[in-house]
Amino acid sequence: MAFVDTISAQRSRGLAMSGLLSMLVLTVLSLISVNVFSYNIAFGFLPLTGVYLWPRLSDPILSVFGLYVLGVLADLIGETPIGFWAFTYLTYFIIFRPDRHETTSGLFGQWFGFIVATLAVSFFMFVVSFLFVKQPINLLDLVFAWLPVIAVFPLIFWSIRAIGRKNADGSGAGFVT
Amino acid sequence: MMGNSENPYQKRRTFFTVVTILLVLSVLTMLISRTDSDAYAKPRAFIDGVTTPVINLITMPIRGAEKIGHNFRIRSNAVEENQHLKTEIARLKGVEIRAKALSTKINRFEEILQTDIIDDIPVEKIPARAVSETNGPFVRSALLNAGRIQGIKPGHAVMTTNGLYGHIVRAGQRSSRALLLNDLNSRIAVKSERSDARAILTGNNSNIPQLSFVGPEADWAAGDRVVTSGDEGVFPAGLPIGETKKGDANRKFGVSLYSAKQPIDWVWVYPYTPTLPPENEVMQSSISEEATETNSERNP
Repeated sequence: MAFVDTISAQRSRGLAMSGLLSMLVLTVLSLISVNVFSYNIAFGFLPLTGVYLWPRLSDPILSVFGLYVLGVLADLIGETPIGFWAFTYLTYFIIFRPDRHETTSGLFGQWFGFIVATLAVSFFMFVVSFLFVKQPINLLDLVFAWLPVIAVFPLIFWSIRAIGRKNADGSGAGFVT
Repeated sequence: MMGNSENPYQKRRTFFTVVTILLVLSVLTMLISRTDSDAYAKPRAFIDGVTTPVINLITMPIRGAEKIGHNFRIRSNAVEENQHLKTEIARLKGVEIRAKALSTKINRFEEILQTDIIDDIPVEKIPARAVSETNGPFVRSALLNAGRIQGIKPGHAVMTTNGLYGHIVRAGQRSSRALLLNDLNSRIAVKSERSDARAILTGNNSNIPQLSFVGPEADWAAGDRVVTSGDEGVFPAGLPIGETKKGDANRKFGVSLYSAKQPIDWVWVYPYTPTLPPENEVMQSSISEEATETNSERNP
């Protein structure tokens, strides 16, 4: 697995920064909760879409540093154990390496991939909560954290693709093309 | 071109070293927050203070939209509700007269016995907006847009118009964090308004918290109105919480919360001074006596 050397270091860092900026926006949006028929629907998993759709050929080291900082920020905001989201983002990033993926698949392919990846995070959340809270997780909580983000994924995919197409330079770098 | 000075192998090695360090750091911080839950209280309060105005702004239209459905339901029953309320007013007028007579009677008894029964529930209330509710597997809490500047302190009770919502666990300058009644770490001393039977309301991360420490003799029944008992000296006694649901064979009663009846937007924080244990009171008074003596020695 060789790193792709086709764009300038400056452009690569710029792409990492745009990925981090989109993650910051998604982290703030993840704090929104909506009350539907006495059920609280939250978007806690929303920043995962940002990691999944990370700009291609972005600087990997700057990306992981930024993801760590944003993960800690998400933990501070969301009352999760500090380090939980940082660990999750990093694991997610090194497993899927979205910065190196050729994103030729369309919405449905990406959507399916995201569902599988988010299920893995749910399992990790289950394990960590068992270690921390020492009680099995309320599965309904996980479903309510998981479903809304799966539902809004196409919206984020199209928004990010629109930004990616606007800033495309023909090198294949950047957000999903 | 990117990475001309380093070969791909070196780059890969650097990348994996950095990732390993960051992963280890994440696990370490997770372990610290497991052993010491207050370790990150200050940064959390700071972040709450920064994000609250932003979330307040973003959630305004959402809270408005949530109310549309609720208001629609209220309006569709407006005529029936109006009739019901008129009957209720007529009934309550009688209750009011009786309450006033009882209050006068109690005052007379207090005068005769030379005692003063203090009503726990504070008159002063601090209004705040619940800008965001976190209902995750780890914690159930709400972010309020009022903090120490408005007089909020950790331990204060948070009420909705229907009943108790939770209590303040962290107070920043202009924001605070309330732990909800159904959070796994929430424990509130409660009693049945009907029988005065005591129990502890224990959060279980579901919408129906349970009554625990229910003794075999304790007179609890389905439909009992649950209120705070004030026994732990943290909350004022008599704050409404909810109603008990039918208990199982092991006398495990769930409580359906009054605060879960409608979407939460505005809440009241009750600034209540907890009752200090006598040893703390003695310590505090001796400290203040010492301070007075020192002052008088310095300024005779």
